[in-house]
Amino acid sequence: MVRARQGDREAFSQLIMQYQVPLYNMALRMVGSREDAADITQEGFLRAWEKIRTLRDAPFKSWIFQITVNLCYDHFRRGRRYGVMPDEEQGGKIVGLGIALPDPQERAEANERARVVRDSIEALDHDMRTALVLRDINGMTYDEIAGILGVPLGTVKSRIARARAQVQESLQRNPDLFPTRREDAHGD
Amino acid sequence: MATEPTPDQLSAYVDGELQSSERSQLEAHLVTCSTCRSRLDALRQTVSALRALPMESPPRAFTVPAQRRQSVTRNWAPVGWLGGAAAALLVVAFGISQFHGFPAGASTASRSNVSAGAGAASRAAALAAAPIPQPSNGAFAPDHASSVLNNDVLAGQQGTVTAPGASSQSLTVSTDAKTYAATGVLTVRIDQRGLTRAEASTVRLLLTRGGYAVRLGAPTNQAGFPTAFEASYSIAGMPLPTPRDGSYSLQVTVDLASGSSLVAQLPIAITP
Repeated sequence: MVRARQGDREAFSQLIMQYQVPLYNMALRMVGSREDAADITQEGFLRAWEKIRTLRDAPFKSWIFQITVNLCYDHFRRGRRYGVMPDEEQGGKIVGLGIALPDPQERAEANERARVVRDSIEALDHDMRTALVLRDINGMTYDEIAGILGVPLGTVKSRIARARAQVQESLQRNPDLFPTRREDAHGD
Repeated sequence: MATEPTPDQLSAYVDGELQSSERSQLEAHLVTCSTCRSRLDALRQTVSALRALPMESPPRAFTVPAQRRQSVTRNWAPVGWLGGAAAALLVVAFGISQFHGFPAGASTASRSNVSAGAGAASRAAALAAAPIPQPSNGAFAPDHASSVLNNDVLAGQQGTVTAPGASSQSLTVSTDAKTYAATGVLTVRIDQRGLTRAEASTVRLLLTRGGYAVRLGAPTNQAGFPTAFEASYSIAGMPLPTPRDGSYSLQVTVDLASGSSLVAQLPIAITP
């Protein structure tokens, strides 16, 4: 970090390597299009590179995520529609070791589940979507999300809960793909 | 917890974000309330479905220019420093600093026509000013050139070709944009892997449209040549066919000792 802040490009390249996948995937789930997500991520790194000397005590992770989240909001303000994603397996390469799905029907179902989940994220308003993505895609803590979004912890908690409730409703409209337990009558 | 937990509390419980006392109360309530246990199960399934979305690798490499643009000194505050208006100002400042930051010796056309956006401008400005020899074969000479880091591609677009049966031999070509103004600057980056110096030195760049091609000279005097280098060409000076705007193809060819060649092609659009 110190070397990157002093203008060491190699050191900054290490930061790019470390954060490119989580940042790109955050942007991808925010805007939906791989191309737009890559553009946003690239611009986020460029802005961070320009400004990193001004970064003092704040953690780089929160800072670069805040820059990129703001770029996503700029994207929304320009009225860009949510990107149409092809099936996961037809598009970008998947990072890490996934579970092999040799059965074509299982593969088709997995793709369909992913499509429904993506659609349910798209249906969220921007604030809820951002909080949900930072939590459930990027695995951030509520404190980190509050710092990135500049909102109180209670707001983060509430946005995530409401977003999940809305996603849950969408998933429950597809019981074949997402079988869920019916709620029992209250009380034991 | 005498009353049912709120949706916020259940959601925070799934995330391990409740205070210990609140968590204990909620867990005590769950023991006696099947409805809340069902709600919790459903919530957990929803979270699992969200987290099952695969993490994808980016479709291209990300990079930053060798030299940072000068920016006003301002310590980062944890919240909201890059709001909409500030971001707009930043973009303007970005372009201005680039204009003034262009290396001495750049041609007027190069300075005034970096038109592919702030990112492309910064990359063009990052090139070290270096005297470029006129190609002996009459090819169109670059205005600027530099050596580049391995694995470093420009953000506009990229293409990689590998030798059949020898995947360690590859040619990667990237450009700083896909679309250029007829008065803009085309920056090309070449990265050759697993080739002998003799093979890599055969690299040739052509900007083609229909049956016509402009030969672009490679910066043979750069330290990075021939394995990893970058060159910028002022489009205004190129002997392009009329009308100058249209769909072109950047074709980069390297001859291999085996008698075959690696050929990478990238589409280039030139606008009026």
